Amino acid sequence: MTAPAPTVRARDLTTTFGRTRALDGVSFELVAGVTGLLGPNGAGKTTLLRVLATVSAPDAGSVLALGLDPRHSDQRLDLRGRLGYMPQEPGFHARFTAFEFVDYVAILKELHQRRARHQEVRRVLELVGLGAVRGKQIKALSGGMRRRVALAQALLGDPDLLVLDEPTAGLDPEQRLRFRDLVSRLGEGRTVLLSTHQTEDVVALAQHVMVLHLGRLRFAGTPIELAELAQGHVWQSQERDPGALAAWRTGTGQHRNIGSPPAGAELLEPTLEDGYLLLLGGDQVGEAAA
Amino acid sequence: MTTTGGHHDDLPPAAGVLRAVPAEVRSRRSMLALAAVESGRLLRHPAVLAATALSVWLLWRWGKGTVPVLHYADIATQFPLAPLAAAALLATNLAVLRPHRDGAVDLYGATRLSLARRTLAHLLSVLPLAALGGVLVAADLAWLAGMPGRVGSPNLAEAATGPALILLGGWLGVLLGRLWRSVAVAPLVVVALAVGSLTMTDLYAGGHDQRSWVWLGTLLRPVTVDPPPAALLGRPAAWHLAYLLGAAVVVGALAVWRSQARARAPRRAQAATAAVLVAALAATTVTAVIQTQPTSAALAARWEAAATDPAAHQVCQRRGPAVYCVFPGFEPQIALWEPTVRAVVAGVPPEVAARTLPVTVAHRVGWARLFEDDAGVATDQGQADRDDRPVAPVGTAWGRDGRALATSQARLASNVAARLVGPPDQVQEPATEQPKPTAGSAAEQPPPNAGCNARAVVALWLAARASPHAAAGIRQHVTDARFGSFAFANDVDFDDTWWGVREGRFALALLERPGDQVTQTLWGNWDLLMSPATTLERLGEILGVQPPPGPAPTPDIGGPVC
Repeated sequence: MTAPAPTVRARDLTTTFGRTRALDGVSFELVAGVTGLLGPNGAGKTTLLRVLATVSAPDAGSVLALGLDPRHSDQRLDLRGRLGYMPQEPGFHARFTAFEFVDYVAILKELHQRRARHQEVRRVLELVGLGAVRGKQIKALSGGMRRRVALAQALLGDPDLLVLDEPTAGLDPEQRLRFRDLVSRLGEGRTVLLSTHQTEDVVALAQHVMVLHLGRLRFAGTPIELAELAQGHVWQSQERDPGALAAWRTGTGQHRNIGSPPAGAELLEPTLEDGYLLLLGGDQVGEAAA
Repeated sequence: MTTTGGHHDDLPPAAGVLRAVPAEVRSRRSMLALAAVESGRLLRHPAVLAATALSVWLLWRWGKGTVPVLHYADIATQFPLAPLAAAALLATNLAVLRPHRDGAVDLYGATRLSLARRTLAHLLSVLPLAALGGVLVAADLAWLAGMPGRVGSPNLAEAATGPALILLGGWLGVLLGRLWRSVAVAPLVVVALAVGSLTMTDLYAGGHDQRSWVWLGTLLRPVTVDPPPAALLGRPAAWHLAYLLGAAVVVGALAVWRSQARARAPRRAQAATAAVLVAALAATTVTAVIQTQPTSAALAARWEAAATDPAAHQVCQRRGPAVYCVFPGFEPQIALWEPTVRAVVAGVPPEVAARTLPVTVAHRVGWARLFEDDAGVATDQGQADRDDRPVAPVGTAWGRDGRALATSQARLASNVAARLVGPPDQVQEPATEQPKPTAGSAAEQPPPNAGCNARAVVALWLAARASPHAAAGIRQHVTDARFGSFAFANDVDFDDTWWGVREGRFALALLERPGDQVTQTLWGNWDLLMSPATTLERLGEILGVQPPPGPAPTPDIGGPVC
């Protein structure tokens, strides 16, 4: 069986803000399906997604997405026509209704035929479960509904590449489940890159995962491969092991430790989260675990 | 675009998305769609709604005290649209800054429609609001055109100036949004423009030349109360409109150019915008220069002729007891004057009427301010040199209701009565705080009019009886008089009568008495009462009425003028 062809190729992406290297030579490939982008705050996730969404250009390096090079204005426009971008803070116009907002973005995406555009707006709002409240002003919607409005606009035009920045932030468990269901369906046949703090989202949705830390790509592979990084590094004990990189008390009353286990330790089957925490290591673990 | 084949089988299909249309066409259509959405939001913006209400109210009230002279009323449509222009500036600025205000820059940045096209869409979105201004102006002028006695026809350039201001305001709001990302800038600019414009119009109304640098401003109100004939207006309305539109295009092109520069648009597009900018700048400069040219010699000559020899430029009609002379085009006003004139004439004895009539009622307007500075016409001397018979002067502005109608009727009625009661005699015009003097001092030469003594009382009584409005006008002026005499016109003509305040009080007191009884007594003593020497005390004896006291002496003019 041959590997699927990559839909996005990034080479040596570098972006600097003042003295801070937000991206430091990041290279990766994406294929169809859902890819989770993990990383602690300040890892460079949003910067990377902005580059992929053509909102900003890297200082160095290149991207080829859906066969298009955004450095060329024509190809950049074509790419924008085929991607959906959900920023971390979409910047809602609070006095717009949900329909008006998505319709406005649809115009900016150059869906110019009024009737077809309105039909498309209704479709994506139905898709995210907001058909019944499309006439409500955004300021009257809950936080979860607003996230879905943001997702709806990203789905306009049935994009081949979806770039979602922290899409589950602020969602309650039920909303998160609904969102997972939707994204899992969206990921069938198209490329979805979603950044998140939530390893559970990655476990539930992603066929691929990347870990970004301090502007560098620390891991790219499958969730299983990420979990396997922690194989032999997760153990259970009655008390918190002072030698562990990270440890916490589980529901059983036992402590789950990550790091270099002592001899004779009761090893556990690692999870993706264990692999992620181990990968970050040291001082970063606490923050990422939080 | 079609749904991307094969995948997402369990999702609803995307609606007909649009990859088949050429990119340029698609982008242009999207820009128009965005313009439509933005114009709808602009029209519903609270500031615009409030400004529309204010503009409608101003249009309804502004300059509406007189029977319309449409080639003058069109000028009065401009200031009322200023609130809409200001609202357009503020609302478009907020719309342009919306992504910055709401933090949606990233979201917009991932879409296809370019920043320059979005800017163009915002510019286009102002057009419906400007059209709304045009509709308001058209409705106002249509309403005025339906009024009885209306005169003239509107000038399209004057009528279009208000909507052009809205366009300029809206486009300026777009430019400000593209230059500065702060919402504080636009309100500051509105305040600065308002102060600047009002200062300019005050300078203008204060007597500066009609074609001077003040035309570089935006709001210019009429310079005189009495509308001149259209041929004497001399306003470079078409050039001013072209100037405003040129300025609007400059502002719009700058906004687009700025957007193209920021978004690194193709050089060809930037060059095209730069070409439009340069052309608009050139056109604006040319029109600015043309509209500020000094008054032409031909126009100055026409002004001088109309001021010094108005009879030669008027058309006259005999109707009943009067000959009416009006500037061409003003004939519909005659029907408005006739009832007043007939009512005054009906108050004099028939044999006197037979001897005196017809009285001549003629347009006389105070255009002194038109002639100052630039034209250099010696209007005082010109009026003094008039050798035609005294007429009963009436302005080209005829009141429609309220105080304006009262003043118009009082002026006409009293001037007609003055012609009926005899030749000019000994009134002295006040020396201060009045409009421009029309003759030398009483000590040096005979005063021009018959506003004193018994016959002045009779004349004012005749005028006051002509209509309730005329009586109200006389009462107002007697009450408001700050000196010993008063006249009814703002810009007093050589043939206007100055009336003694005491005579006015006496006439108003007579109104309280039974009209038939007073008429009988006056007619029985007509010749005596018409003598310039008959005093108020003698008149009081004849009527059995105590004459009212005269006004208190005024130090700076040395007492009553009669």
